[in-house]
Amino acid sequence: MVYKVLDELLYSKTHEWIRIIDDEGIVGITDYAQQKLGDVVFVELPSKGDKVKKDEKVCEIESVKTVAEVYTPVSGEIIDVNEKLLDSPELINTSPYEQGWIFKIRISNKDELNELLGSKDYMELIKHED
Amino acid sequence: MLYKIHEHLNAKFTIFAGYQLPLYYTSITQEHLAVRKNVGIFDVSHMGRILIQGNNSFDFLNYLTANDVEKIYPGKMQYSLILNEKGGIKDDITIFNMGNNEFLLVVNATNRLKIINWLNKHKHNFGDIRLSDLTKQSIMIAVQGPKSKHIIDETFNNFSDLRRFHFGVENIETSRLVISRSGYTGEDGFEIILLNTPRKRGIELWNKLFKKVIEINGLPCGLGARDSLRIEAGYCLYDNDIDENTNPYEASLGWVVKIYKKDFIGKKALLELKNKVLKMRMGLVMKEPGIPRKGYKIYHLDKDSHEKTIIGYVTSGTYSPILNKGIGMGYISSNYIDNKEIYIEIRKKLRSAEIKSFPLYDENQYGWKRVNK
Repeated sequence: MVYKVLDELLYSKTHEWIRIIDDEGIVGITDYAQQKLGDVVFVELPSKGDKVKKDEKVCEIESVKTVAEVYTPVSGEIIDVNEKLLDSPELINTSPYEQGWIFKIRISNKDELNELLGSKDYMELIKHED
Repeated sequence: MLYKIHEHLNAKFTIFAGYQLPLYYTSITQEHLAVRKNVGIFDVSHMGRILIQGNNSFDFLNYLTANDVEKIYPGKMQYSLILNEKGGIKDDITIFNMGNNEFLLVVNATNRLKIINWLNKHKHNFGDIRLSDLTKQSIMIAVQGPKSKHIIDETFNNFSDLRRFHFGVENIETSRLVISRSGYTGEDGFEIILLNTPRKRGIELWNKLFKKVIEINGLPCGLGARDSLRIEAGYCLYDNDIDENTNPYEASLGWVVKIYKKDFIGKKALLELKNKVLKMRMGLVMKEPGIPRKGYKIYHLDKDSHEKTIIGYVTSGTYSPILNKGIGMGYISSNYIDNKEIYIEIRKKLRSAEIKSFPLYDENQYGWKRVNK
């Protein structure tokens, strides 16, 4: 199986990705995660203003087969959510790294980024999980 | 028998009834839509196929099943139930009258051994009944959708005049080809059984049909789509919606039972149960996001006191790409089946839903009745 992994992103062990822009991060789930889930039919988004801690569950994604929990890779405050996913949850399947982004977060502790995986380490992880 | 083919088609597998079967090939949603709008092909060889022979096979089957076997003449099939003495459902099956006191039973994969034992247990009162389990030496393929007749007409020569719930038989060397106009999706469709087939011939048959399906942009479909299609249509899945503890009346399968029959296993119990239906199987459609799944509780919410009462439970659920909503079926206490609004507890939150009768899709747009119009 071929799973798309982007070099410029950081990854969590629970298959979330984060794109860092200064003090903010954009978070979604990886191509590997969306392939394992199958057709996404509902997304329960977190709320703007929510203060969250690293590894806390922030939302749920329901596919035909199952429900998956999404954990935030860093601590901070949720500053935006992708409301397009309410009408078009399939964007997570068709465009997991772009249009399928889930939330934006203001990062409170940049040191936490050191605990995340780079693209090479993430590729190793999914190779072993498969 | 066809495992390598599914592997080659990049199927994602799941375990069902002890078999590794394709859950989907492309996507459950795409496969579901292909069947409703075009055509899909399913390998359903995991189902059990049992042949019954003997001079008294009519009486034998009429004693063991709830429907009336006298109603099926050679070339006709019927949906039926095998009941236990308490009126509970041991399996839901289809019976084909092959002629010459020969009947083919198609049973659920999970119940195959249970049913064979049950049939063997009861056959001694009916003279010389012979039972053959043909499952491992046969295959079964379903072609379903409004374009399914086109596929059958293109692939075979002698099966173009089948009416719904009728079947034809053709001998191919040592194998027997049985094609019926029937299915588990609610759409027009055909079930193709090849009895006593060497693996090569089974693979050839799949390949022939598959090619025709792909030619008109149809799709191979797995168990995921099979499940979402049958839920939309309102058909039961054994161990989810019916089991040895559910009777036909509460399962909304009372129409299958021909209580006038002289005697059959479960008749006595059913005469009592007929008037004491405490819960009923109903269709469920979500009004808020979420998918109702097996085991989820169903509630009634009092408008004034906001008190919640459990009124039932979900037995099957999935996502309907036709309605774009979560759908399912479940049992609801008879007092509440007219409720306008119900709530299903999905991961600790009560979400609103409604009770709807089957099929859940619009019969003017989808389903086998629109094709035959």
